[in-house]
Amino acid sequence: MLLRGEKMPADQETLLRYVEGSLPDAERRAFDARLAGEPSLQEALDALRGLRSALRTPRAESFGPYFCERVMQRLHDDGKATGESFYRGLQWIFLRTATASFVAAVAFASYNAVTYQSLGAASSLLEAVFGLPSVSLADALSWSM
Amino acid sequence: MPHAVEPTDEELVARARSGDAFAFEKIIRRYEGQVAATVISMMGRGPEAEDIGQETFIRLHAYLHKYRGDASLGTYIVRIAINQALKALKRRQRQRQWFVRYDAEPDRPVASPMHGDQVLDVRERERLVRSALDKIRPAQRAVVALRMLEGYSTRETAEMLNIPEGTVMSRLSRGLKQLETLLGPLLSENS
Repeated sequence: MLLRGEKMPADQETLLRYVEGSLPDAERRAFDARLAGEPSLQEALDALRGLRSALRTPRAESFGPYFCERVMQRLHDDGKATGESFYRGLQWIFLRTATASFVAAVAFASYNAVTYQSLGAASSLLEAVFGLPSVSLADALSWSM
Repeated sequence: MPHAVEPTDEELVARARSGDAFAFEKIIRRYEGQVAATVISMMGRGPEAEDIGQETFIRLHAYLHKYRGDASLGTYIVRIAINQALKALKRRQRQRQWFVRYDAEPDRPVASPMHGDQVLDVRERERLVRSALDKIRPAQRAVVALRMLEGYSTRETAEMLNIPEGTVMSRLSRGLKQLETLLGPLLSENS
């Protein structure tokens, strides 16, 4: 069977080039001599030939009629969509800015929550998160008077 | 009557860069065959292959200013096509994994044993080869397609896929081994 016995990559390359007929004459003669004395190599060669022949299917020559026209049309349409791409660019910037702002806000909130609570400066988590001092209603009213 | 001299790739690239649509059209016509052969050998025929073909030339148009001429224009275009095809193959593989385990009976032959003087027609043979290629991993399939089907040398295949030549040979060896199992009945028909 093909490449049974785990032929070395160099052997595989030589086998392939032998099958393709791209080995130089000297190498080809040397390989012929090896084939005569190594039945396993001959077996691998036959298997590779069989597989190569099975894989041979008609080569595609094109994507079908008017392919070029379809590509040119797409390029033309893409050119018209430049205005749209400006708005898509703005959307791209906005989404990234919004994400960065959100991450920064969460980081500040976490920092405030830890700091204020450890200092005992805030009476609730909400106050700690926003970094607000603990103020009672009476205190607030007395300050405003 | 003297024939008009065909412009070289360099001339076409220079003209296309300066916005000459006819020059770019000429590039498409010149390389459509090469791109089609490569993409279809990797993906099989169908609308997906054509989408990749279109995307290849759209990308070429977008990145034409980056082409420095280190590789020939043909190699540059085929590289874009291979990258697009590999992305699509990986996407196809991920989608398939949602429904079927990839390794569920991976080596089950795609062809039934032949009876008597039964001979496969070209289309049926192509379908079987395609479905066998579909079962091997994208990285191995790319190597098999370029080295075995398209006839690029090992060095050219390595350059196009940006991998060492040793990796080309080991992927090729694994891919061929699996194909041999998958195409078993077809191979015995050939022998």
